[in-house]
Amino acid sequence: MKRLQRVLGMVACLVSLQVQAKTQLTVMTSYPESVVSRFEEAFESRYPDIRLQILWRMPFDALPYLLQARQGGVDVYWTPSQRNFLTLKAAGALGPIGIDRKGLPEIIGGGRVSDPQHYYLASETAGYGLYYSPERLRQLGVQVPEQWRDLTDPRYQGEVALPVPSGVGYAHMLVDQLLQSEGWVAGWNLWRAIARNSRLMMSRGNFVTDEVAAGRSAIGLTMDFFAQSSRARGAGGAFVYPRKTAFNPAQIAITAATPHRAEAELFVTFILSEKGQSLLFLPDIRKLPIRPSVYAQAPEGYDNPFTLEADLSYDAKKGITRRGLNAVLFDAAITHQHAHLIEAWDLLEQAQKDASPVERKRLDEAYAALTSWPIEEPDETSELARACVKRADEPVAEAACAEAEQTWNRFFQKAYAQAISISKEILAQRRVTEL
Amino acid sequence: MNRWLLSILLYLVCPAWSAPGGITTGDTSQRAYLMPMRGLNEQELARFNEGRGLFTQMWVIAPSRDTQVDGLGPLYNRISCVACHPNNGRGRAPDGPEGEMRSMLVRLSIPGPGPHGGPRPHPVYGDQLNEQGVPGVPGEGRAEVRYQESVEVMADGMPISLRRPELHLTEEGYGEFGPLLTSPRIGPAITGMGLLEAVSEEELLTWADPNDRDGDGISGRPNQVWDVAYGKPALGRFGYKANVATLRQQIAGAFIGDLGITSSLHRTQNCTSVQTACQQALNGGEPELSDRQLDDITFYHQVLAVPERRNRSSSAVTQGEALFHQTGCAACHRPQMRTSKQAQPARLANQIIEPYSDLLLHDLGEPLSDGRRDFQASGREWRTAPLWGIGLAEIVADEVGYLHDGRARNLLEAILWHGGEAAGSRERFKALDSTHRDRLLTFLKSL
Repeated sequence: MKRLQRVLGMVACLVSLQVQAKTQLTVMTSYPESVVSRFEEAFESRYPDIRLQILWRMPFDALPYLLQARQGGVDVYWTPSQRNFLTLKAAGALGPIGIDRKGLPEIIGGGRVSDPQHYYLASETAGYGLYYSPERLRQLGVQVPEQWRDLTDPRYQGEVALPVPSGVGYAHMLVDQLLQSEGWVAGWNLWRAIARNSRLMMSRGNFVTDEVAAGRSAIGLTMDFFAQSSRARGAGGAFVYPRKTAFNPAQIAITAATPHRAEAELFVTFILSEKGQSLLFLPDIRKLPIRPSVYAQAPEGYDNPFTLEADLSYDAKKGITRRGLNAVLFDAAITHQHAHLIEAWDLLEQAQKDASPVERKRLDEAYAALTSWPIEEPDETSELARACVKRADEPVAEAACAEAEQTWNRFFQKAYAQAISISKEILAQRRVTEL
Repeated sequence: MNRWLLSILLYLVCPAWSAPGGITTGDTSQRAYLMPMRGLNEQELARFNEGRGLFTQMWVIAPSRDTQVDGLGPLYNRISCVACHPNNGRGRAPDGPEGEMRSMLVRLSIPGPGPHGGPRPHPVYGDQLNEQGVPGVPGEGRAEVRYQESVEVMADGMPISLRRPELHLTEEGYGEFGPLLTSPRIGPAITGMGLLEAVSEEELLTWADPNDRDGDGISGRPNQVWDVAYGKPALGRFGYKANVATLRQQIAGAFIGDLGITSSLHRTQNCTSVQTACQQALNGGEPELSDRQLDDITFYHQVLAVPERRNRSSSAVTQGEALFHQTGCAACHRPQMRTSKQAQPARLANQIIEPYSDLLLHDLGEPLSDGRRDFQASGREWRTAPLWGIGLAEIVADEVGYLHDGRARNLLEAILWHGGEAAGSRERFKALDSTHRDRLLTFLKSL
């Protein structure tokens, strides 16, 4: 009887309450749970009549979804992917954002972060830098790096965690910023020199911060929020921006097709408000607010891109147009040939010691092979660069990019083999002579 | 022999958790539940990372170009595992009717036994309320929690406020719910699950005393459940009711139940026969979670390190530990077990572990009952919650709840909700003065 009473009691509780249904606002993002859940809870607490539905897609996957009919029901797009916002704007897929933009800068470090016509607005930013173990650097006898080039120091051998752009999304801009600041060929040679000291991080599940925190690497190339979030949550270590680096802003926009423009504007307003921006300070987020005034509430020592003494100039559009091509080149020159690249440099340096003039001439050939580069810097009209960006969408583009990929794979395989062969030959001759 | 006396004797024989074989972590930060066991090789570390990636993955609606991670829904609760287990820790209940179920779900059934003796699913809403649907598929409804506050007074006169939850289902997506049974559950912490699986069935059964033959008032018993992989009855050891046989099945069950992701263990989408839009929605593959992915995420759970005990030799902790035994808590929250010599992965084998659980069902009394049978577990019976790592719960996540439905806001409240077989322990705890109560709680914080 008691059990029956209990069941009936529960049933009574379950009689549906007549409540007014909330408006559902659909937000597409590529942020992780730690970011999404904080903003979701804070927004729904501030606006209890609006319920968020979060749809998650990586930028490459989000674009076709947002370009379909009625934009898949998405009201707001919120993500760090400037190329998607540029494409969506060009396609007429974004609507106006009628909010108060007072106190929101549109340029940081010389780079524009929001759309001039305000179809998308910057919502936060994040910069590239180095996460390291101070103790390990002391053991290696090296100073804290001030520029990317410092990672070529031989004392870093095997101690650098380097993310690969074909597997780690944020590495695209990391690679390109160095190409822009050093120049095309010089930049690629610098990457190869850094790679010589590196352990490659091939996928997004393999965290650079873990490599350093666990002691498997002394230093890693990463984004500030990965490092600062790890530190804030107890991982130790330190983070530094090189003197010349790049920042990657995230943006937010309202779709052209939304039937919930008023609610969408409330969401955008909240994200960009003092309250919303201050959520970025939380230990599991640690991104950089776009609203300068909010830094007054920042935890001690928090980086501020508006006062940071670093050269942040970077042409994002240029990087976007060649990101696919860069990734293919990085794999051909570094990822697929990593062991050979290291062996070739090791043998060449060994052979260069006490080399005779005749040997030196041959070793110059090896050096030339090791530093050779198969393609000039693509400009904005490059069909190949366009093909490598579009390869996932268009079979013709895929064929063109894949063909170049195979050519470059063969090019670097041959070049590194040639350098290894010459160096080995000279070292062998030298041993015979010594005998 | 009285069971808690036996427990004390065993503990005296094995006073220290020696040579734990790299299965623990000394990390006491917010990352404490995230660390791999020590000594994983490169290949194992890669699998750990793959599994972690799947656990933190925000799943995608099909069709998608992200083919490895699509297939969310059509009906679901949250879009990632980590949403209900923040930093691998425990979830929490909403604080009131306006709060959303961010790390909590509601099991549904109707009276009577279901397939293989488990709960009988609701004919329209299935066995779990999925509040969310992919675009074009209505969510099933919304669960609200309201609380009634009451005051429990300690023997020294200190009042403690407790909140009793009442669940209300609203916004029905598929017609009236009608008569049904519900059981709200917060996400539990996920560390140590591989080690719990590594304890032999024989070892667990030595602690069972279903008819309380020793007369100590404690009658732990195993749950016999249905092994969906082998299609036969098996000992249950996972879930709040010990209603799942293996870790792999627990994970696959959460994927289909919470995320709507199919696997080789649950091949059909979580749509009932009347949910036509759900049935017609596109899937992300058949199954959506590959066996390789299921293996990787299982491996991730298996090799997550367990937090080491802290301040073990401090006088407050040792006194608290003695009180834990004296009040009888250790009769069910068994301090030590040994894992099987044959356990896999091999690093889990032959380890002395300190889960503070017997993995058996115990009657915790009417106030905690969900009034709902789950295989052999009655509404009043719950599996003894493992306590290892519980002292770091409030560091790992900002806000956490305790007990199956998160009603307890702290460990003190959780103790006071214990009834049934644990009523005696609760009363002995209430009889302690505030200094001794604090010491017992200090001991729990050291786990």
